Amino acid sequence: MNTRAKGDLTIVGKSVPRLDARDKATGNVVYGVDQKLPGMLWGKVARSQLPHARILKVDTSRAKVIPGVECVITGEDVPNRKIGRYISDMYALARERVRYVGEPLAAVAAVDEETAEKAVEAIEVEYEELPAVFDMEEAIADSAPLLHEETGSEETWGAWSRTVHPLGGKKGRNVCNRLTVVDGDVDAAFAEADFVFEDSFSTHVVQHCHLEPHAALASVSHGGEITVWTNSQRPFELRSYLAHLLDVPATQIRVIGTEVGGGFGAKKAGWERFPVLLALKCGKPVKMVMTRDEEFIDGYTSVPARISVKSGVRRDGMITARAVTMIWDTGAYCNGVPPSLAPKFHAAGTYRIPNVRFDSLLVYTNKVPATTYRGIGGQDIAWAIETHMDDIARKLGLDPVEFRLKNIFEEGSRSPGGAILRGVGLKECLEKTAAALEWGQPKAANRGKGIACFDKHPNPASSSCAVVWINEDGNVTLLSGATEIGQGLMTVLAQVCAEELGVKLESIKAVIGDTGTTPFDDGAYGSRLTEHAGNAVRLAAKDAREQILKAAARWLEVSEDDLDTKEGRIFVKGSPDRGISLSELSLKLHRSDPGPILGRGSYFGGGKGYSEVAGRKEREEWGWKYGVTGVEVEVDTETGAIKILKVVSAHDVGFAINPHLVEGQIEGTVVMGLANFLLEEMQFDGGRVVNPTFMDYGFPTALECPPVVSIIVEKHNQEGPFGAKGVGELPIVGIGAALANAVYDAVGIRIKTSPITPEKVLRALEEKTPGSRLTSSAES
Amino acid sequence: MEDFQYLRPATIAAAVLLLAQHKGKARLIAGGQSLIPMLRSRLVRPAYVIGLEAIPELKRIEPRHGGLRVGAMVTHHEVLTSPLVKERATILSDAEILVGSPAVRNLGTLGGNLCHNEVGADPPPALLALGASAVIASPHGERRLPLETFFRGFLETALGEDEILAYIDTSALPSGSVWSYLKCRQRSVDKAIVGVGVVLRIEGGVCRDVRVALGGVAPVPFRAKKAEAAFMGERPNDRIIEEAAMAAVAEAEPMSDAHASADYRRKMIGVFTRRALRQALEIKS
Repeated sequence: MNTRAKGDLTIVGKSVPRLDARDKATGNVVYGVDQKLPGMLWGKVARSQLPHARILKVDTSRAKVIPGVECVITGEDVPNRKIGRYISDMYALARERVRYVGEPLAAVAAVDEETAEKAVEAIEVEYEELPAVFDMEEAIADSAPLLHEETGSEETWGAWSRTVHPLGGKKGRNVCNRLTVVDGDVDAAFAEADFVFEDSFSTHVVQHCHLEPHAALASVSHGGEITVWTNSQRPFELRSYLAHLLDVPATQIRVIGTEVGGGFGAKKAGWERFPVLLALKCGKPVKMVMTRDEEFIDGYTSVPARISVKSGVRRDGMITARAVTMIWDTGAYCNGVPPSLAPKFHAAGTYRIPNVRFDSLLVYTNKVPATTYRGIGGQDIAWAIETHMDDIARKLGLDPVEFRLKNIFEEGSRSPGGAILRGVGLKECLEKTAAALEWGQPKAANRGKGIACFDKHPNPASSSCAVVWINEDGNVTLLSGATEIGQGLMTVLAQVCAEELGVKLESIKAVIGDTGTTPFDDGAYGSRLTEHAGNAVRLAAKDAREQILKAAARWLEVSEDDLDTKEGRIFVKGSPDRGISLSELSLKLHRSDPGPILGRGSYFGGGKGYSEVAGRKEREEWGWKYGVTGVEVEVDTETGAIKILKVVSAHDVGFAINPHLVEGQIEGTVVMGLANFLLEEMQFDGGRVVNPTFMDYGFPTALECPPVVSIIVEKHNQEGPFGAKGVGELPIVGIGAALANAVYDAVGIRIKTSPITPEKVLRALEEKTPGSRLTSSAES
Repeated sequence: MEDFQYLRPATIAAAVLLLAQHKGKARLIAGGQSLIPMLRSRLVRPAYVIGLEAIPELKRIEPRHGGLRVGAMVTHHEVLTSPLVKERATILSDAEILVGSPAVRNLGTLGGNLCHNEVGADPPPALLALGASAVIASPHGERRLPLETFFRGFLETALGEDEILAYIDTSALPSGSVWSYLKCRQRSVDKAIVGVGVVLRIEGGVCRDVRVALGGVAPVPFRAKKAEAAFMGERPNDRIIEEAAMAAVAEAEPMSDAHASADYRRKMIGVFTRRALRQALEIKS
């Protein structure tokens, strides 16, 4: 879809300031938590106190009589229909059973937040406690309590979803999804390999910690039209989720996306159903905002994993086979893209391995449900694969960078599963990271460097639409159903639109994320919007430009082929004085045939990655995202504390539409990843979260942000707007493994269970050097 | 947070009177850095909150007998930027810079910090090592308490329901005194996993005075008396330092929480006591 050559570009590829920078810096944007309507009520949710129990009675009588309480609903009042984003396994409010501490049992609406809280406290629940299971490996044992009866049968889930993701297949006990990928013959390859290496790893649970909590306001008109203002990442998906729950046409619901104070995968779990159900019951607007405690208890989490890796390697350092077994813990319900699908894309690492077998299980336990978390499991897999790669290199006596370079994806490489990879900037990322890290230079005692390579699958199969509307004053309204969640999307889309149309950036006004006024978009997830929404906008702008040229040609009495556009003017190529301004032309068009200009564009793409079974036809794939992380650390051998000296994060983004925004994404994601693997861990006791506050949960502050070297690599992506790909999730993927490798390089210990805490480092050091550390310095 | 009535007395006497009037139903608020989270999580539900910000004498730092008198309402930021504190109680400045974040230090007060007695607070070990005392206002007048007996239990102090911590007094340090405050923590804003305050004096090569205080490892911050005994009267060297550090480890009974296990705390008591002693003595490691 080339219409302009790269050399002529004036607006994309430039670090223009974010369009919302001034408003955000001055506090002038309206977030989800800021929404209000006259006469609105406050909603609150009453939660299960037990991890697994039969509900005998939910007594709301005391709550209902509290002055100011307008209504109370329980599982009996909500539609008797299971819902879920990919697997329908839960009710809008618990019925008959609760499966985790914090599961919503009832909801109340009252005149203010304090009254609603009092009402929640007044709700009395009688339970019959059931045996619970908290460990993902214990959950798949025959003796484990069964959380959802459906997993005991051979039948596949009756997914209501419009999903294009393959779900189903044979289940096991408490296994809600299983995916097996086979390519080549791993067993034969292991038998033939010169060396076989095996190891096991595990990752921990973190919470998204978006600083703006979940917030939604719902209102119902007399005619039954439902309007929801929410900081959701995916307004259209929410609309269809609510339409399913309420059994109404999607268009009876309008979801208006507000400004979003961070999402990271959490803000799309359908939490808005509570204010909607309450508003329907009370006939008044209802607002709800989660507290920070609630975010930890019921705001959903990342998906921890146990991962076993086995690799067959030839004497010359070529990897010939890899088998990976993964168990993922989704908690009590499956409410996100099942990360068990992640091995389709990541489990071989970024290497040309001819024989692979991956087995991936998603398992229920009695804990707060997990959902997508920035990176969608890529970081868990990289934690295993990339530390395993380092270990193999060291055992073979090879330099870890050299070993990777031997096996790494290059232009035209065949991925396991048969994708022929195009637009691969991985090697350049690795070489530039190694150089920035001064790889191979002599190092001081207790200092070390580590590196990790990774990719992220192409975008999820999904759609974006856009409309470009030229106003009578010549300014442009860009309509897109995509959402700005802090990543800078609005600015990127405006840049794409302005470039393609040939108008100034300032003349673009973007209206986004409103199912009542903007065309369909699958929303902000999976790093998809730059590419998908960017393509849709570019096509819409191209369509509008063609109409502009046609109309201008008529007015100027020249052929449209002889016309060009720049900075809001249409002129004859070679004689710039002969032309018409877009404002003049558009005004004329508003008063004559063919009428105002409306360009439209839509784009469907993604959803590839490797197939589940061998023998699928080889095909070219663009748009895989590649990156390399390098870390330098210093380890305090007395305390186990890790000091980050440097982080290098290199990414092939295809083409940086706004380099400054790319760097912002890289830096933010790096800090998030460092905190994930060094500081953050949700701790549980009997299924109860014991550290649900920022006082006790290791959320990073500005002082925990080390220097980050961002490196942008640009290998043109034929399928992206101006060659671009997304970058939002990628930099988190390799951080954990790079850290673990750097710690190994520094002090020779291998941490296989994340996060890397000082306690674990110290314990490993003591195990490596028997004898108490406490007395060691007295001897020195 | 539930509704409460906010009261704002202008004198210490008026504040004490209000406390006596609303006995059991009122809480004092200084900088709010501990109380507000407790109100939000409904750990406390007072009917009255008494703000002390209108009482001028609680907001002063004054010289006193070669030492200091610090008003309970002085903020952490004011303590750590005070030249008088820097000169006469440097260890307190050293501890204050490690309290929370700039926002917490701008709002939080020394008195509020001591009265909540949260585990891992930084000022207590520094003040214990200085031998500071608390001046308490009560309906029956003022009373003075060595800080060692001020901290009583988990989030508990010796303050009665109608009493206010008015001042912290420190006395002059004899010349030749050296000190160090060190903190083991994960994030910059965290409370201490272990906080060690050390003040000691060497005369003729021999340790003549020593106070070692630990925070973060038990419900109350305390003087590590066995560590002090191991050091007192000795000529400092690596062996003596190690013995003192091991004595500190032996006399602590640390607990586990979300920040660290008891085992890790125990190890860090040794490491940080050793490091604090070495730093005070300016021994390069």
